[in-house]
Amino acid sequence: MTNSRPRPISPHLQIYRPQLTAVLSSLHRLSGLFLSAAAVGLAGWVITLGLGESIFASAQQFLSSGYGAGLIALGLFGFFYHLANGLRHLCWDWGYGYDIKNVYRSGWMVVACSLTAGTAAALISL
Amino acid sequence: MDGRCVLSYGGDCCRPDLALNDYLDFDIVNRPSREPGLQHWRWQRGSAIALTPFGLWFIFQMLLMPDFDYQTIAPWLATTFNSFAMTVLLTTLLVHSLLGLQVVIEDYIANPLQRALIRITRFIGIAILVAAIISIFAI
Amino acid sequence: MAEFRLPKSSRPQKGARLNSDLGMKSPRRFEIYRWSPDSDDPPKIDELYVDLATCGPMVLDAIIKIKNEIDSSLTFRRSCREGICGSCAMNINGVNTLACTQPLDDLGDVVRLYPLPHMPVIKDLVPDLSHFFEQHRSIEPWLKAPEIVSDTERLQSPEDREKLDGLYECILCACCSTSCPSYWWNSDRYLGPANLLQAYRWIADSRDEETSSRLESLNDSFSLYRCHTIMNCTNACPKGLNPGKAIGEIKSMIAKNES
Repeated sequence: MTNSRPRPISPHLQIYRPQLTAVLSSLHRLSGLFLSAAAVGLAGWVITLGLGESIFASAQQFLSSGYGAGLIALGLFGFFYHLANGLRHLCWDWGYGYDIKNVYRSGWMVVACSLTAGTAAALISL
Repeated sequence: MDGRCVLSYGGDCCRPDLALNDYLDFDIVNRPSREPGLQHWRWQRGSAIALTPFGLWFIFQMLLMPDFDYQTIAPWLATTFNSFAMTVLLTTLLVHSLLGLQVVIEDYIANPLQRALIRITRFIGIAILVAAIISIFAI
Repeated sequence: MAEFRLPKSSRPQKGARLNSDLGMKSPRRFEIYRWSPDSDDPPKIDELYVDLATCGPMVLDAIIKIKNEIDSSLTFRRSCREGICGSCAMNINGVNTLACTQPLDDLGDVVRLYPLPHMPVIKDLVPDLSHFFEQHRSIEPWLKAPEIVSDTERLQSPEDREKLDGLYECILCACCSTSCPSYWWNSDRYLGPANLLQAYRWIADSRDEETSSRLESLNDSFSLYRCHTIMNCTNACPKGLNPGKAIGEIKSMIAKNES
C-alpha cells in the first residue's frame, strides 16, 4: 500500500469465455425484459378493446403489419424460452440438477424446446 | 456507497489511500440497508408457477382464434371464464415482471436512482393493470 | 453501479514483444497482462514465446520459466504447485483456474493470461483479494458452539461428517467468485460463491449450534440473493466443488427456517 497510483480493474466481460451457463442466464434476463414490455403491450391491447371498435381496429392493423408480426414472433420465442428456462430454475430451487453435467444437459434441452415451440407457435401465428 | 463497506470497485480505482483498518471493513450483519431477500424470492417463484398455466392458456387461445376483429375478440373476452382468466394473467404478469425488473435495477443501478426507478416501475405497472382490468369488465 | 466497460485507464494496450520463437523446437505463444504501479504506463498485453520442449507440463511451469529466463519482472503468486494453496488462480484463455493444475497441452496455440477478473490489480497477475478475504471473515468461518458439554472432542457421526464433503475442500482461490457476473457488478455487498460455500460449510456442520442465526444473517437481498444461479462458479471451480448447489441449499434452508 505504499504506492498511490490508482490500481486498474482487471478485464472481465471483455475476456471471460462465453459459456452456456452465463449465456443462457443473460438470455433469461433479456427475454424477461422483452416480455415485461410485451406485458405492457398486452395490457394496452386489452385497453383498446375497452375503448371501442375503431381504436381496437387500428391496434390490430399494427399487429398484423410486418413489425407487429415480428414483435409477436419474438415474444413467442421469448415466452417459450423464459418458460423453459424458468422451469429449469424451479428444478434447481427444488434441489435438482446442480451438477455441471446436468446443468449443460438441461441447458441444451431448454434451447431445443424453446426453439421448437417458438418456431411452431410463430408459424401458426403468421 | 453503502455504509460500512468502503471498497468501491465501480470507479476508476480502489482506495490505496485508506488505512488498512478502514479498508478491511465488511459486515454483513450490521449493514444499515439490510433487507431480507426471502420474500422476494418466494413471490418470484410463486408468481412464476401461477403464470405458467395462464400464459399457456392465453397463447393457445390466440393461436386458435379464427379472426381478430372486434366482433370476435370482444365477445370472447366478455365470457365469465375468459375475463377472469385474463385478469389473473395480467395480475400475475405484473407481479412477476415487477419483481424481475426490481432485481435487474438493483443489479445494475446504484442508489438513490435505484429506489426511485423501482417505485416508478411499480406505479406505472399498477396504473396500467387497473386500466386494463376496468377495460375487461367494461366490455 | 454496474460498469460493463472497463474505465479508460484500466483498458489494456498492446504491449511489447519480449522474444522471438527462433530456434525453438516447440514454440507456444503467450499473451500476458502486465501492469506495474511503479511506472506510468496503462495496463498492456506483452507477447512472447516459450519452448515447450524444455518446459514442464503446466501453465505455472511456463510462467516460472518466463520469469527465470525471459522477464524477471513478471509478477504472480504461487506456492504449492499442486492445487492445494490456491495462490496461482488466474484467468487462462478466458476461464478462471489454477495455473499449476492447468496442462499446457489442453490449451490452444495461444495462451492468454490475465489476473482474476474484475479485481483491483496490485501488479501483473496479482489481484488484490483483501475485500474477498474480509467477506470471508464476515461469515464467521469457525465452529460456534458456546456450551462446553464435556472434556472430550465434539463427536460427529460418519453420516454428519459426510455432509461436509464437497465443502471443506475449498481452498479460497477465488476462481468461482471472480467468474460470477453478479459478483463483478455487486461485490461490494454480494458475498459471492466462494464465501457462500464457506458459509454453508458451517451451516451444514452438525457440531455448530448457530445454524439458525447464520441463516438469518444471510437472509439479505444482497449478501445472498444476488445469486441468480448463473452457474459460472461451478463451471470454474478447479477443485470440482459446487458453490452453486451450496447456495441453493442455503436458500432452501432459509425458506424452511423462516416458515
